[in-house]
Amino acid sequence: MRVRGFGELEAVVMDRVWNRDPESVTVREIFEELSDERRIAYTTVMSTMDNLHNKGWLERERDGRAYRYWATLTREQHTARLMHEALDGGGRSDLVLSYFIEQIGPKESERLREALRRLARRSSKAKRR
Amino acid sequence: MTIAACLLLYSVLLVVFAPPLLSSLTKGGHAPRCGVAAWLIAIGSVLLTWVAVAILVLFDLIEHWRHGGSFVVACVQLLCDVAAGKAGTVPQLMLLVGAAAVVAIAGVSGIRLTRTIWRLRAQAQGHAQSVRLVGHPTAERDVYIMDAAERTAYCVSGKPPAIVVTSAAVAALDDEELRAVLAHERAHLDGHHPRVVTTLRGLALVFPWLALFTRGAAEVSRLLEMCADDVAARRYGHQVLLTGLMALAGGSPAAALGAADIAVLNRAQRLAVPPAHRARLRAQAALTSASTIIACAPLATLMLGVSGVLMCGG
Repeated sequence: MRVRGFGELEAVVMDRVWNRDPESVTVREIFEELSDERRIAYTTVMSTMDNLHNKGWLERERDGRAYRYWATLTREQHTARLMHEALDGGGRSDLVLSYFIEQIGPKESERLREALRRLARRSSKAKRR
Repeated sequence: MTIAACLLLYSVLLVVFAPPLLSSLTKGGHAPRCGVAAWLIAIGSVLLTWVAVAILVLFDLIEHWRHGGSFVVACVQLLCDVAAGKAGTVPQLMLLVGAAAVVAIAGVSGIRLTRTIWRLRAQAQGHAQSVRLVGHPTAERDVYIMDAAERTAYCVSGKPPAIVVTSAAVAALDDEELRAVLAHERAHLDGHHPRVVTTLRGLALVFPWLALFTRGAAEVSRLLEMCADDVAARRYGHQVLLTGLMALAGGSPAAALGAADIAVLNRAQRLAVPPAHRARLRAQAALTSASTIIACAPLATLMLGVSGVLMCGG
């Protein structure tokens, strides 16, 4: 696996931290895990984790000369937060998203199915011709 | 100054009459691209007109300061003289204050708009970034799967942007449908649709009392969905996209917004029974002529005004 951008490295680091959850990790532990699979500098891992701490994704505590890091929220908690942000805005929120489909009621899905059946009839007619 | 008055009148006419006119012209969704263009031209020309009016008033103020006397100053002064029964510095002062207010309102609105759009963009970028950290990356660029029970797919702009498909949606769609849904979202990103929608949403938030902006934002996003549908349908066929729409529609029991339902139904009907060639051409012709008139009117006003000024000057 190649890391393309800094953002992607953040994702890889978060993945490793979540895998260790609820244990805390040091930069060196993550660095050693990652350097088995790719060429990466210790300082890169350090600054990535420092960044994640500044963004509020990781918490840390000094342990001797190094920091021990752990995730502030689990992956599931973050997922729930994002889905809440995406789905419960109802077009009123400040988040601009382009949905493939907005939430739709059962009555309307029935009318949609009717439209689908019409399409099926039309295309079968076209084939017969 | 007459130019400014004409432009202001034009913008008022547009603000009042453009929303119902464009809504009825774009209702069927026969020519979504032309519809988007018509709305954007109408909104853009109102904004440009306002900027032009503010600049003209500003120039008039400066001119008045240096030489004294301008058409509108004289006019209002006369009115004030009649009303107050006396001439003096008071009406002039009032006028100056009024003109300064026009310029100030334009400036403040501009700043608020910029701030709002920045906020919206930051929000979207934050969301996209979080998706990249939390979601499961796929072989497709920018596409992330989120573990969630709701069947949905959406895209969000950012640097870089993200396309989100929930695990429930992936389970509900077959391979071809999933590709069609992703093509739909990719069409949004390739067409810079989120940027357009963000700008319009910002306008609607700053000027919530103007139907041209609020309705424009809603209508343009509805039409952009159709544009993205068209791109995806060209590649994967109308039927695949329609069954994809159905598969995702079936899974959300939530009580829905009326407008959203009608929009989805509209799209489904378009996919089920694609508009005839002649209907498409008719819609394109109507929208193109409306856009041309909307775009040319202020230019003609300016030209007339400038030539009038020249004639009077000569």
